[in-house]
Amino acid sequence: MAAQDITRLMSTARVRLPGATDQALQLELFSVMDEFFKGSNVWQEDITFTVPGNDPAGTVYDIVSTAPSLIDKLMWVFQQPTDANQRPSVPVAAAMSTPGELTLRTQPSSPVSYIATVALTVLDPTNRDGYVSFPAWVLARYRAVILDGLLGRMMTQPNKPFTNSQLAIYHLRKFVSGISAARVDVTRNNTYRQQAWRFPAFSGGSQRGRGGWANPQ
Amino acid sequence: MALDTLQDYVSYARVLLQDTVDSPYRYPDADLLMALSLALPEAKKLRPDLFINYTSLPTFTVKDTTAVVFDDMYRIALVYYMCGQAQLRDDEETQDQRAAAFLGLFSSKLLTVA
Repeated sequence: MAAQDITRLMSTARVRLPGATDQALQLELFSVMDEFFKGSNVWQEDITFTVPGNDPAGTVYDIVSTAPSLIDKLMWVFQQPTDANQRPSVPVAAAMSTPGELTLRTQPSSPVSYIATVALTVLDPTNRDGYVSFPAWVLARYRAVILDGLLGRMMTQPNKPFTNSQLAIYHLRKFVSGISAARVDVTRNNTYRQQAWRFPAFSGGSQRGRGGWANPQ
Repeated sequence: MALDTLQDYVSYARVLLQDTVDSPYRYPDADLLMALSLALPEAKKLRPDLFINYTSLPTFTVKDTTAVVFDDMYRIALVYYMCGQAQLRDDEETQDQRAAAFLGLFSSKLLTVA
């Protein structure tokens, strides 16, 4: 994470939370980021894995994120195209009842590579400075939302110099609405005025009869 | 920082207690260190967030240069608790008032901005 970004966040929080310690702020920041990522799905990663042919039904395939993170949700799985210039177009039914353990509804009869897109959230351990690890762009993009979450959670702590139930409600409402807005941004791939609504999958995924450009579903 | 080590805490508590001349001291070092040891669990009860990095609470017995790990903003509250405990020992009316004042300051310093 960019040091200047987190320094700015912490400085702003310290000014608005007189008497708050850095350790308490770092502790709450972890919870704020966890709630933010689980609610918005903004942190995603494509994980490629290969399935050998003729595995028995119900075989579990372990998928691992490259970043230190917890796999929160399986967004979708697509068959990897053989041509590198093509984008994935064949959806695959899969499930992930335990984070990181993926099962396929139908096993392939020959070796196939799949691309699983997963939503990630934060995970211990924190870095050596005590800060939770997540991509730097998230803080740059959603600084105000994260600050609202941090202020709101800190202000709900009982019997502290910075306890303020009225402002806590204010900040937490802004945090929740910020998460919703972020979730919509992700659905639209941060594209201005793109329709969140799409044709259902049975009709081909779009009016043109193919999957939308954004999320391949 | 003015308050870093056990010596710093005991020395400043003696200033507030008007007990800076060793002839001998009215309040022994052991008593003040015991009060400091008692201050930590009392502070933890009020402000658990100040003890996030503690695995266990220390007990102090020797006045030396051992660092007292505590957030800078709240160190003075520990000194007030030491003074309050020391003044509780005396049975004069004025000392009782001072004891109550110090112990009240301990709480208010931890729980309020003032």
